[in-house]
Amino acid sequence: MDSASASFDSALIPEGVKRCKLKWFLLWIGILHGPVMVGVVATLMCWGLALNVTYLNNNFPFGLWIAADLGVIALGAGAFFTGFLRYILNIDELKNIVNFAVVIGIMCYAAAQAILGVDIGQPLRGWFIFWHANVHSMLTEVAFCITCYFMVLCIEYLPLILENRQINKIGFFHGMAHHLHEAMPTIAAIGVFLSFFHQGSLGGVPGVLYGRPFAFREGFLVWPWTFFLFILSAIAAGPCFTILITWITEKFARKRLVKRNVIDILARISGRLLVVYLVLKTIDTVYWVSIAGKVGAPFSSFYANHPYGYWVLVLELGILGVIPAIILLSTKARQNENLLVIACLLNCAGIFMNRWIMTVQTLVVPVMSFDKFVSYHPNWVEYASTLLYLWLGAIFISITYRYLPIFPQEKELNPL
Amino acid sequence: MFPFIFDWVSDPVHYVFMGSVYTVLISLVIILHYCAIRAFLDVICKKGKGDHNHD
Amino acid sequence: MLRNARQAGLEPIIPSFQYSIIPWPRPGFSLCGILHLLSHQGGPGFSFGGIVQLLSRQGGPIAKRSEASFYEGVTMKEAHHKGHGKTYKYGMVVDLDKCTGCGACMVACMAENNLPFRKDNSDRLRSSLWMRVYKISNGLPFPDMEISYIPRPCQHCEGHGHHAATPCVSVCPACATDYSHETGIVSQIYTRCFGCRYCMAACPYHVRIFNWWDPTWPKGMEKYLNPDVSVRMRGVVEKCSFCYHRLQRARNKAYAEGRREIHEDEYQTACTQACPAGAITFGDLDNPEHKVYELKKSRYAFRLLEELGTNPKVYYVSTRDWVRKAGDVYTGKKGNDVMPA
Ligand code: SF4
Ligand code: SF4
Repeated sequence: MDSASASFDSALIPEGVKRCKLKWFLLWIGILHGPVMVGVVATLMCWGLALNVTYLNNNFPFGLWIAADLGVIALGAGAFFTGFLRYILNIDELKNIVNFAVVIGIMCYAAAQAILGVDIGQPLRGWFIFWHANVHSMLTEVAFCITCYFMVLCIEYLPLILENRQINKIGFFHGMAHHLHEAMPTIAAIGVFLSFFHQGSLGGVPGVLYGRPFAFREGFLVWPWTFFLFILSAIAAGPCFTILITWITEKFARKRLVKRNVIDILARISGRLLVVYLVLKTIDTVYWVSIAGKVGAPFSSFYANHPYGYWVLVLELGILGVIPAIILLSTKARQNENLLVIACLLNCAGIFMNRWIMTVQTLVVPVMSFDKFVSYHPNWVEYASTLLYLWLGAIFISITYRYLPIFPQEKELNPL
Repeated sequence: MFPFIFDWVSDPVHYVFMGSVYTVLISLVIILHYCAIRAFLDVICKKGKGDHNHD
Repeated sequence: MLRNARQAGLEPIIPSFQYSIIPWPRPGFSLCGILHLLSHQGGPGFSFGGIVQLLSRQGGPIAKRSEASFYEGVTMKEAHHKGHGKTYKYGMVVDLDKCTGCGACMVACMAENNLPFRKDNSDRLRSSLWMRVYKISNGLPFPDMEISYIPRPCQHCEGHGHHAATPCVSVCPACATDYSHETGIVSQIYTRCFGCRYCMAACPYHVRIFNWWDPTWPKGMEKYLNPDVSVRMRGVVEKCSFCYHRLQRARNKAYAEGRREIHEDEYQTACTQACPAGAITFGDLDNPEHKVYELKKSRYAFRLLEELGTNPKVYYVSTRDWVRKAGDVYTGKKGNDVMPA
């Protein structure tokens, strides 16, 4: 029984690498199905019983879902940015992690689209955003770009599937994978173009709300400054998320999958970008304070509502910004795996916090003088339906890792 | 999405936006077809088998 | 049924058989009928009716017939987008010194516009109110304490200068809400809105409300629903329309009588008529013959959050300084210790 189950799927496992027994794998996938079911129930509740099952209300049309949406897309930026570094700037070492970055990207973008599908009040009309597109709306740009980019990611993932041991035996698929690899720089370029715009447009979503002085920014042509800040913060945090997930995967696989020098390149680039971002974000904050003051909203009014005090600013830019930047910049600290992981974690948390602030805190701050501040926190339905994609992502990565050759260095690092 | 059929708006942003969307979609379709056709030709010409180098 | 979309002047004025209470698919062959039904689609879409509407929008024979009624030499589409031909700018002036906070306007609005309610409607953050009366006070202790009420319909923002577009209109990804340059009214297409709620985030006045529940009325009450206003399905955003159906009715009447103009008193919103104190005045802000024209020029007139550049069409008048100040952006100033009613 044991040996039968161990060999049952061994023909599908990439050559020259070791994977756990099938029964352990199935057990792991089975365990993940627990939280998945909770998430599925929450999602079905939202669709079946309408959105009154959440804690959203007329003052908080945007809550955890939109913040999570913006967050995962920013974290998924690792896919396009690694592709950009590998195929366009030709940093050759990154070929060892670019596949996995694509896998993480797919997971993030699928999550983003699915969360939007729950968030909108009439999910069956979701296609109206394409059909009746208002090209002046940032959300339209986001919708078009993330859909197109998701297609790009799927095309980037396609050769990995075709390289599965059994599929690759078929001549056509073998050739297709080969030609897709050849075309990858072009595909990556399209991905970069799309990502640039939707990462930016996500920043534009709050940035154009001129009725909300907390979020509104002036800008360049049709793009508010947040457009550029979001791009920058996404490419500063995306690679860190890739590192983080790689590290977690290594822990589960109990072996090294990517060489340290590859990780180090990503961490170094991420650290430098983070510094640039922090500088620009500080300039933006100072400038915004002066602009908002003109319409009668002093700086203090934005942080007057408990629990959104000044600590928000300190946490976002200081603890979750400056500290990871310092760690990522210092070569010595980067070599220390624990420090590196902490830095990545802080960086990703910082980006998530930034997205939360730009969506939820924007709505917290009352604009009319006689408006009351109301607080918002998500309920279990929102948490479960958001975390659902974390569990699905784990399943997706597990299956991909088991059956597809995504880590080119695995064989070399772990000789059988 | 289909500006020619539905509400055609003569507005530069509309042209640029829809133009980019269609360019991207068409490029992706062309790339996929190009790869598939090349792979198909490889198979029927029985050449270049087994000596590809993937990375 | 009434599609407020067409409000903006796109709708061929006349056939009132279009208006029914419940979102009802148009008769005729519908390719995507099932999808439409699934998505509670009431409007035309791809249906036969839709094609007719499209033809009429693109200046087909149907449009030709009706557009002649109000706009000479311009298509309705042009009148809508560019405001060519005769344009109006409907707006409101509310005298806060007269308002007693009785809430009659809120009730009238709910009845006129078929607003749903629940058994326990006390959760103000989730209940549906198009017109909402805020209660504010100057925050001073007893003998000096003063109270004022601020009725707040949709401000029908126009936007100007740097912010050329209405806050909520420019952000809607599906063109489900629109600013009509012909009437100055911000419309909402319930059958096109898919409930992303971006417009709610954009509106600083908390005007827009989301349908968190399926609309329900106590048994028998659905017989009292206004047949001129469609009820909204759950999952879409709605807001005050300045009783647009009343404008349509007035126009139809004028058309039937061979007139090109409607009188001031032919088009009045429900809240205006319901206000026992006569605090609300409604009319064309650009028409010197309308009362609002002079009222809005009062030196005591102000608008809410004027500094943001939303350019609202609802003016408020108060001789009290602190009330006028309360219309500003939140400033953290003392003396505005105010609370909603
Ligand atoms: S008040 Fe709000 S909903 Fe009304 S037009 Fe202005 S922004 Fe839009
Ligand atoms: S909720 Fe409806 S009206 Fe508002 S922005 Fe979204 S689609 Fe447009």
